[in-house]
Amino acid sequence: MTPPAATEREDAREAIARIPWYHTLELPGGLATAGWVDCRKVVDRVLLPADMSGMRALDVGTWDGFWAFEMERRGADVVTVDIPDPAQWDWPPRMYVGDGDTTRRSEIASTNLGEGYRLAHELLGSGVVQEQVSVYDLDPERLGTFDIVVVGSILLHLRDPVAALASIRPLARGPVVLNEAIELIPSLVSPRTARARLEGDTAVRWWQPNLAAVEQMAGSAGLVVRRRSRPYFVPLGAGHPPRPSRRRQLQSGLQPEGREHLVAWWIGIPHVSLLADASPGP
Amino acid sequence: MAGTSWYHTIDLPSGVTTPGTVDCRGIVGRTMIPERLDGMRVLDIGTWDGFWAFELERRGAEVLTVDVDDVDLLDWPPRTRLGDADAARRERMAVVRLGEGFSIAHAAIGSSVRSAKVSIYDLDPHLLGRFDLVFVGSILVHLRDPVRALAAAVSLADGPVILNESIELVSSLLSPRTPRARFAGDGDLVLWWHSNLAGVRQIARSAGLDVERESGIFFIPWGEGYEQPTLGKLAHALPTVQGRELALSWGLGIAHASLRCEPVR
Repeated sequence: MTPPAATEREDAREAIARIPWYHTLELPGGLATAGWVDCRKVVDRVLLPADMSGMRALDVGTWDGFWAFEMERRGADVVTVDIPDPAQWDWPPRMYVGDGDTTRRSEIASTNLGEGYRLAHELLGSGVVQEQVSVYDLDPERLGTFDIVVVGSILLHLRDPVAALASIRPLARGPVVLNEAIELIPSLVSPRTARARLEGDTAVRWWQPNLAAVEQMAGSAGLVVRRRSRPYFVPLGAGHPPRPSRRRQLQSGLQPEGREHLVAWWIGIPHVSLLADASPGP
Repeated sequence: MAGTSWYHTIDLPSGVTTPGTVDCRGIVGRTMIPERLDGMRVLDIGTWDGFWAFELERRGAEVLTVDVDDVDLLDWPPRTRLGDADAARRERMAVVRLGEGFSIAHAAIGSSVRSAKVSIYDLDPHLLGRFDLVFVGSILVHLRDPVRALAAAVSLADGPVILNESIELVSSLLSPRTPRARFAGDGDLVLWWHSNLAGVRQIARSAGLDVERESGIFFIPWGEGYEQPTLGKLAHALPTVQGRELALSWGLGIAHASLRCEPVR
């Protein structure tokens, strides 16, 4: 007869294998999820305190929960917000008419967000609390205020990123940490000019900012940036499709968007971490 | 009329011309507006002093304009609504009277253009009906969420949507195919995404429009009411991308493009 612990581990392994993961999570029993990205290597690059004991922390747009569980491990009392219903995401208006509408409906039907978070939460025996609310509708009356608010890689998915940041601001009684994806080449070419490349036609992807733009969006929303990390690269995880053929890669190199893909395939997705205060500036 | 600050340069029947900040009179032929609009119900969004509304009426249309009547309803950066910045902004804007120029010009011309006080974000076919043509002039750059605004405008369109939008010149020339925008948003002005031509095209696509025809780039001259740049201003402008765009506009006019679009069915 198989010992109960081994059976449980086998059940967990099967449950994990059924879920398409976004985050690479280390779960009990030596199990790891095959995520789209692998943030484990960059946990020291983000501007989070090493010890978060006694802090009430908010993780905005948690997905599978990597940063929520990381903050819990550092001692924080963590609340996460997310919208598990993909129908409520910022789909481009174009995706509500004609062929786009069909595509949108089928993508919504095949997305089961929140499943990974729930399984990881259970396996970790986590005490993280999740609230299901859009980043645009955050309300201090409902959620309270937080010693630290962490926003991870969501601005590029929002049609109105400044409204989202302005909505986050009243919840912060301490720093707001933005760990945001940036485009590498526009960040290097235009270090002082805020620029973004607009997508917004078929996917829930909108303004792809350079570093200066993330900083300026924060300023526009009433956040005062105090510190910023050097750009770092979040490696793709085991669940990410392999790099395409050399020929496809060469073709990618001809387009600005494709050149950013090349950076992600070979180095990782460029990010910056900003630590900002919510207080109005002088 | 002397006490009014004019944005548009408008020829009034009395022979008086308003001293506008911009002068669109020379470029009316460059836009994608049809020559005649007889019998058409047309919507002009963000009309300000009404230059385009009166032009659309002159071409035979029955025109409704929409605009906000309170500067506080403009898309100010959230930062400028906080603390001291809020007080400074209100003081700076206290002298601005939206709609005054429009009323004066409307009466002087004897125009039948009707106007409604509605934000572009709140346009609703159930309230205003639908239109044979929708005209959107130089307003996307002033909106924090241009795609949502334009999608609201598209919901009222039974026919073409004409965009006449300010574009970034250098970025339009350097990145003809890549939609890019410079993010302003942090200053004391209501300026947000200054797109290149491909960027305006992409905003239109995203909002549910197919671009059918384009004018190419044209330049709207500054008007008599615009404070002439000095050498000092030029020296101040040149170090930044934003300043260089401004300096180019002093020589060439404000870069624009006109797009004729159809709503996706």
